Amino acid sequence: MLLIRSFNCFLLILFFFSCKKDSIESDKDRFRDEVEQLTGLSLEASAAGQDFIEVSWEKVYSNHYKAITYTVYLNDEQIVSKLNTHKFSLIKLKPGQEYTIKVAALTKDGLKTERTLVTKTLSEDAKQIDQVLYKEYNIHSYSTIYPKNLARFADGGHLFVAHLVHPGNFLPDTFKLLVYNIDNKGNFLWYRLISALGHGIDRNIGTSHIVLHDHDKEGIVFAGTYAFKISTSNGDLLLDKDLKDTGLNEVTAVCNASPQEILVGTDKGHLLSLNANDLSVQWKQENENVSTHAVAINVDSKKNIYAAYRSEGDSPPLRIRKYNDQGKIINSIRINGAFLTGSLIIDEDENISFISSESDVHYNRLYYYKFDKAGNLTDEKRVPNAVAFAKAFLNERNEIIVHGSRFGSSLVVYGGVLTFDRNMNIKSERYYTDLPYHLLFGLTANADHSYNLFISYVQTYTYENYNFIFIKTKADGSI
Amino acid sequence: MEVFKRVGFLFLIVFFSCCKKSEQAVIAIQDVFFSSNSSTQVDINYKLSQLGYQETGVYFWKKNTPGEVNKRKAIRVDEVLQLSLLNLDAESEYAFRVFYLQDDLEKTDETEYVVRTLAESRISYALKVDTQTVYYDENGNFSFEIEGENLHQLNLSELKIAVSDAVSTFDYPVNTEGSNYKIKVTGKAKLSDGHRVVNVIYQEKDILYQTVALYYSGERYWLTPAVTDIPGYSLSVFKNELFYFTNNNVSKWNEREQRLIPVGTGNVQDGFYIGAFQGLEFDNKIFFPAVRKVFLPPGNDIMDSYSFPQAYSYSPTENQWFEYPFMDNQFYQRYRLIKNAQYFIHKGTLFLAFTVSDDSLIDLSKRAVVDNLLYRYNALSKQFEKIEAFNREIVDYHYISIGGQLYLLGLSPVYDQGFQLSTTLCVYKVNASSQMEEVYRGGTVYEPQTFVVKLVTNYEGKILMVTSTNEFLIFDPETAQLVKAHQKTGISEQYLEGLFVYNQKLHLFTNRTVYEIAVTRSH
Repeated sequence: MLLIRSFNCFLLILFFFSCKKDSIESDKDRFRDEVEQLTGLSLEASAAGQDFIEVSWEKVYSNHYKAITYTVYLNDEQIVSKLNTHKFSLIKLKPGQEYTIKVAALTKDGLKTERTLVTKTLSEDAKQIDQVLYKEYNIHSYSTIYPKNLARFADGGHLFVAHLVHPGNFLPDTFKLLVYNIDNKGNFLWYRLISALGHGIDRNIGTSHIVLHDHDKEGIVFAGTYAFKISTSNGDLLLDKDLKDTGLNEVTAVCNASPQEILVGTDKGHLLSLNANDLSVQWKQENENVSTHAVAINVDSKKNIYAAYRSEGDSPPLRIRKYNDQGKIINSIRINGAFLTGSLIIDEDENISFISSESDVHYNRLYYYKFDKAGNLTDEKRVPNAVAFAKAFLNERNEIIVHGSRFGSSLVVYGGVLTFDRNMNIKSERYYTDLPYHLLFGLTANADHSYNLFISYVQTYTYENYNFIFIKTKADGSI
Repeated sequence: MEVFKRVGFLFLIVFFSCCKKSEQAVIAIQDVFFSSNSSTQVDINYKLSQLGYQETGVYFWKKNTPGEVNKRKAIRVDEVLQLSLLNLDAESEYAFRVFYLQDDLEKTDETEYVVRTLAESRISYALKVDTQTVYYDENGNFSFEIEGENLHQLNLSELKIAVSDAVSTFDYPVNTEGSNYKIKVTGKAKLSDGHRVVNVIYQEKDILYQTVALYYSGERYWLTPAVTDIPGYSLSVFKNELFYFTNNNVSKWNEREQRLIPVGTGNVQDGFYIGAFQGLEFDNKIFFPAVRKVFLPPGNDIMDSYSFPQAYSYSPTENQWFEYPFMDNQFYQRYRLIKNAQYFIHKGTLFLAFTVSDDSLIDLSKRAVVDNLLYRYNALSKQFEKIEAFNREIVDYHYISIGGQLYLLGLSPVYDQGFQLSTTLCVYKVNASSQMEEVYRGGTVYEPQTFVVKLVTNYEGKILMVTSTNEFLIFDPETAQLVKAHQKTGISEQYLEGLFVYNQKLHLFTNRTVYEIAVTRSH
């Protein structure tokens, strides 16, 4: 019995050690430690300006999950360390200069990967791509510049005519014509002062007008009864001509009919054809109603001329007359409504549209009339809650662009631009409410679909301002 | 037999026991916990119950996209297995299961763990300008530092630092301590004290909007006005006593008794009392500037009336008035104005200057005829003698004698492209024959200094100019520089009446109050 018990104990011990041996075999460490390494660093210049370069890179990882920080070098000089973002800008650089930029990703233990990039800042004359450009100008302190009219050069620059009113301590002559040139980067190139008093131009005339001539080499300004031809390269006055003999008191609308011909509408309702070279009158079409006032002129592809006239009075009608190229009236269309300003648009099918806004600015209401080439009214629309002082043009995409100022209560007023299809169905609208209260007095479009906005901030109840502002928008019209 | 049965049974037990041990050991997942959790990353630690695994890690997926499973392998640190789930979306639930590879066979634990990432939090930069006062030098240059945390993380091309209307730039952030950084901002401001707003915009969002005071760092003039008890109307100084002129009376200020004592008779001309404008003491009299005198001939026919400038003086010792008509400047046909009437003493001689000018408002289309006139007082004949005056287009002018040199200051025309567009403050030296040499022209053609100087006086060899009750300027003839005299306390009145010296101290006389003026130069 004792033997049996002893044997049992032996077997149990044997069993125990058998199992123990097996258990040691299964706990053998077979874990495969991975060598610590970092993922690659891909570095690129994500943005650049004339004085900065922005670099960005993909986040670098450690397969040991260690924290990574980045160090940035500019031409081997350490600029910043312990970065844990993946974007950094080198600043205060020189335009058009090459720089070597290195980014190193490293762990606390010193494991490192790095990448070097050689890139340049933009040159000084580099075109600003889809960037908002904001320029504020002030020609003379203590003077006021208003109202302004403009013409766009083919290269994106602009020529302006405005009235400069200044203090007169010694002379009663406190009013000058001001013509100035701004290039497509907003640089102020030159300005020319022209004596108004010396040309019998009264301070109370309305807006002066301007057109370009001879491949933009010359600008022709119409103020009062005078036409002035100015070199656009330096502002030299090349020619001045008094058109008083033609019976006009003031030019109120102008249009380039051809490279050799300028059409001029007057405050007496006359239409004049001027030789663009010597500003001589080629023909004149008088209006039997001298209390009419030319609002807009345009010419179709067959050289037919369309001119819109408003009449004085409480509820005056607006007439759109169609002339042949020698000023002979073909037909006349009547619209009931008091429109101070307006635009004539001719589409590719020779439909004529007259677009204007309610004379009471606080309605901000647009009016749209469309006629076929025979003068039949084919469409008529009103667009509420849009802009006042509306002007319109057809862009390259055959969209109607309407711009003006949207009035609220008191001094609240903002510029606005609305895009319509050719049938005046709204496609988009944008109001520049982020800017201080302002009047949008001009808008032109660029090839990249950005706009050039010309505004004046509202500082007084007269809406006159010492400064004027040029803003080039982004391609989507935003600023 | 029984023994052998038992032995056989035990062998069987041992055999089967050993057979069981020869199968793969089951490894348990233990102590799973999240060592840290952020909006984009979850750090996971766990242990495996025993060795024998070749590799281990987790399979994880976003809860709402279970089909997109990712694998992450763990590293082992001191028997603890560690890994991180990276590039996660904020505020999202992620699930994971632990796997291990054993004998080249991957096993995934059935237990599914769920973790939620945190909400995205913007980096706090905790910005502040390190000072409440920023100083600029004589050219307007200033600098200050913006302190904050983690500023090195800013993408500087998306950072804008604006200091009101000043032009400013900034440098790279510099580490100060720990996560604290500072950015140096430098700029150029207009040369005027005042508060400016420091606006830091990052990625088109305001991250700092703080006001700082901008002050000139160098020495400058300080003008301190102190209200006196002196009555503030129609006063002139004679032998350091204050005389007051009203319709009927001339009174003298008794400082001890703090009251006015009548001492003489007033002088009313054409309805206006002489002495309303401050006079100047000379030759034992108080001289009052020329004003318009209307002559109404016998018969009172208004059509025969005419006007001329006439100056006055008063002798306090004799209580006697004297008149100085300037009949060679009588005006009748045109309505004319007398402007800039003033006395000055130069090299011991009294001079009277005034301008007779057409009222330009009468006919806006014509250039106003302007006659600038200058008279010298003959102490023997007690009369004024006309001498040659300047013949230039200068308006709102003043003569002043400093150190034996006569100066004239006023607004001169500013020309652009041949046109007079505005005026600017100019200072001229004037010689004995009234020829002038320009020694100072303020501003530029585009930004002229158009302010009108109302009062001038000699302050320690410099010209103190007053343009309004709170606008004082000092012109130093030696350096030909015009600087502002700053005020720490303002003057509430609007109208300026005069400057005079009384008890050897400069006083400013406004419409209601007389202030004692102290001018000092300090920081």
